[in-house]
Amino acid sequence: MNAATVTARIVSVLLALVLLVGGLLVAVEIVLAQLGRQPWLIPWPAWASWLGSQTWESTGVRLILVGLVVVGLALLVLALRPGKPRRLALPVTDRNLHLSIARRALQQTLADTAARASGVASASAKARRRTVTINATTANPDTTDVQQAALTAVTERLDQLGLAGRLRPRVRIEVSS
Amino acid sequence: MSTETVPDLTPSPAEARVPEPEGRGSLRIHDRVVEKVAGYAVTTVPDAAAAPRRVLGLTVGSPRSDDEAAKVTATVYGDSVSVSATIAVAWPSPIRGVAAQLAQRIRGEISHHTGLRVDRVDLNVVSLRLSEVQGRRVQ
Repeated sequence: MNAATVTARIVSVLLALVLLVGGLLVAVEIVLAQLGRQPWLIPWPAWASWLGSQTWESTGVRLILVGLVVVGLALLVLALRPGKPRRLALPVTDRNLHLSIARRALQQTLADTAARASGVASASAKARRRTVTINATTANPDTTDVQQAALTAVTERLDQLGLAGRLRPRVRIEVSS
Repeated sequence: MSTETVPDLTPSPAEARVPEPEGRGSLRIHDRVVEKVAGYAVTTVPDAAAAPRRVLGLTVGSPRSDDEAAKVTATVYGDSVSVSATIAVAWPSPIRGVAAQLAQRIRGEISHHTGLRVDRVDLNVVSLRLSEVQGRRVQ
C-alpha cells in the first residue's frame, strides 16, 4: 500500500468523523432550539442573521458558490477517473467458474518471483491495467543479466497465471550500494 | 363427510384431511446454510484456505488456520445457487488448478448436503503467501 492510499484512507476516516460529529451537533442544536434554549456550541443565530443580510449579488456569496462548484467538479473528476483494477480475471476452462486474483496478491507473487531470480537482492511490483513494473535491486554492477533473469522469471509466472498476453512485464534494476 | 366407517380400512377424519405429501409444506434452504457448507469445503482442499482478515486494507491478526472456514457469499435461486468466495492459495501452487479443484469440491459438498445445483462459482484469490507463513499442508 503506497503513501497516497494510506493518506486517502486516513483523510476519509477523519472526514467521516467530522461529518458524524457535525451531524450530531446540528441535531442537538435543533432539539435545543425547539425547546427554546440558547445555542450550545454553534452560534447559529449570528450565522442566520448574517445570511439574512446577504443577496445573490453579494461578492462573498458568489465567491463561496464558485468555490463550491470548483471543488464539486474536482471531486467528480477524481471519482470518475478509472483507478487501478482491484482484481484481474484469470482464464479458466470451466465456464461456470469465474476466477480472479486481487491486484495486491498479484503484485506480491510477482515481487516474490522476481526476488528469487538470480542476482536480485530485493524486488517490488506494481500492476496496472496492461503493464506490471518490477523494481529490483542487485549488488551486481552488470545489471543486464540480472534484469534478464528477473524478466524471465516474472514472464514465466505470468504465463502460469494465464496473464502472459494481457500484462506486459517491465523490469527496472538498480544497483544497491 | 361420511361418518360411515369400516374400522380397519377407512382413514379417520383427521387422517382424511391430511394433504398429499408434496402439498404438505416446502423446504427452503437459506443462503447462510450454503455459505457454511461452501466455507467448509475450502478447508478440505489442499493449498486453499480462508483469506486473511483485512481492515482498511491492512492485514490484521494471525494467518487463518487450514481449518477455518472461508468467507463465502451465496445466493439461492430456487433449486440453484451461486457462490462467491474469497480465498488464499499456497504459493507456489498453481492457482488455476487449486481453483478448479475447489470449485469442484464446493459443487459436490453443496449438492450432497443441500441438493441444490451450483450454477456459478466466483473465486477471488487475495493472498498467495500462505505457505510462507504456515507451511504446506501434509497430504
